Amino acid sequence: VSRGYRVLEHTADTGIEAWGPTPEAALEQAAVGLFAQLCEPGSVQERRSVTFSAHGPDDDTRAVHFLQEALAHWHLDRMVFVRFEVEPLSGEEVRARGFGEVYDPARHEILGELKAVTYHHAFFGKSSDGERWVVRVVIDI
Amino acid sequence: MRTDGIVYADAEMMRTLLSKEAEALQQVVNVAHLPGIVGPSIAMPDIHWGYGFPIGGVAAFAEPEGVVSPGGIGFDINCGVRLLRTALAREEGEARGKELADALHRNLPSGVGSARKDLQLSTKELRRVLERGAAWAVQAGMGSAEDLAHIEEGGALTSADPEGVTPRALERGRNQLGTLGSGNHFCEVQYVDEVYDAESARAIGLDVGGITISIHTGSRGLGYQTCEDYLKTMLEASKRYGITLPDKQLCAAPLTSPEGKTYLGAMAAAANFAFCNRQVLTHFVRAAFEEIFHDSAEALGISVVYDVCHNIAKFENHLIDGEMRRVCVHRKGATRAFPAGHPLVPEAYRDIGQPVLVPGDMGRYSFVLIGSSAALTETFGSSCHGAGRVMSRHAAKKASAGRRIPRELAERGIHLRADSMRTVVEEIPEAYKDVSQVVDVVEKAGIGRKVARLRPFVVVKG
Repeated sequence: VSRGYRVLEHTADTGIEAWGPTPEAALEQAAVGLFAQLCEPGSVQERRSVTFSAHGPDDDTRAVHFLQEALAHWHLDRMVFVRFEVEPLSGEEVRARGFGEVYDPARHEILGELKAVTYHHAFFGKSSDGERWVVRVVIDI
Repeated sequence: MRTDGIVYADAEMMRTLLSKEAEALQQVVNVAHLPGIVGPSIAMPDIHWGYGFPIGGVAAFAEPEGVVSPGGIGFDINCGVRLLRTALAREEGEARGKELADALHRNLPSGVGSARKDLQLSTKELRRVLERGAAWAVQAGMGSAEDLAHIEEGGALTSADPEGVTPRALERGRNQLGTLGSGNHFCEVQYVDEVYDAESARAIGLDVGGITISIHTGSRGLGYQTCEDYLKTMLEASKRYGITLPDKQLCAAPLTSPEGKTYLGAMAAAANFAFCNRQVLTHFVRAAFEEIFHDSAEALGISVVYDVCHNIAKFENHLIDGEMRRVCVHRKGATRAFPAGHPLVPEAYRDIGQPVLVPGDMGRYSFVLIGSSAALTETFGSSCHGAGRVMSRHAAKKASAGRRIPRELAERGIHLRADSMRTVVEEIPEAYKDVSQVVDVVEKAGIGRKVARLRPFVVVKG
């Protein structure tokens, strides 16, 4: 598969590894993977979209901040996202749009708390074979 | 490494650490690289892998070169445990176990993003909570001065600066005061099933067969966001102050820097939110007991034994190489354990030492320990904080497949109420280390002494 994500299990926490043919696609997949840990993606409809942006001095940090900003929409506005579009990257900024809807307890099952996206072992860059872009983060759950 | 790493463990734990948790040991090493560390980088026997600092980590830093690191406190600032005792006997409690479980589950909002509809705070009022901690709740009629006298720091860190808490953090915490949250947070009703130290148990008010209540939660979204906000600040600050980091999550700033000071003020404010949270929860626990036993909380003898922080940084005076020095002790998944006679031990326990509350898993037991003078000299007056996971959440889910966990617990006389079945399967007893092993290491090492063991018969989870 040219794009996707998988969950990395650890004793006390969860990690996400996402990949795609472009850096933007890898970030999109990481955010989709993050929200899939919060809420069953199949139950979420694209009723609304929200734009947000993040900054970071280096790629790894930028990816963490992008995911933190995406998750903030859950923590503050109870948004659950199912799809993301990241604008072509330039400089230190990531600009993105998340698609989803406001959490509805009648239709959405919350799978677990996502306290925060950590910097621990965070990685955003090309895979070792250079063939795809990868994002790896650890989430405090 | 600027100093040694010391891990408290028995031979079996050490084997497991080396084979399966080598990264947690590496984290003990990483902490030893931070500037201004004084004494060793320490890990308690419930050590496990964290981010940056290990869970179960204790480290002290001294000015001028010493640092404060938000990752050394953790996302859940002042996550902690409060123990209440009652005048009720085991038989009386167990006879009403089911109703108690229902009443507590109703009274204590739990689960992901749990909120209290009956306690919506304006920003002004929320700031007061951050300044006053548990005293805010007492002033609002939820508790007594007697409660405050039995909380670490009297239930408020006076160094709190609400100005350092960002609007985003305030927003996340606004409706979460008086809620348990999810994951490993809980409220349990227990009975004392064994006493190891009769004199201390008597001083604490614990008798075999007496009923106790434990509350384990922290600063909720307000604390998580405060940590996140200041990690960002500290990443930049680390660069500015030339601090090399083996792991970004260890980012730090000098204690004397504006960034370090602002974080410490915000951290203390978040800690006060947690103290207040446990005080408000105590009020609603009392209300549940009043409803079930048709008597006042006073008549039922529901009083605070103690309330400990296990994710916190504090300035304390410690004797280092024969010299009394003011150091900033980071405890991440570790509990303060000061001995008898220490001025920071509340008056009621000055003769025996500080109670240390160590929760286990929801099926077995929890422990009450007492601080010791060896802890003061060896671990900056610190002890363990819990059992520590041995199974990932995924592995726990697998181990629970096809089982009915609530029924299994019911067969053992434990009434479980939870917001989500997912939490239940992730929190099965065998997902945790047997906390008695952890406590035994603490006792053998002399950094704490066993006083009593508590067994749950009502468990409320997120």
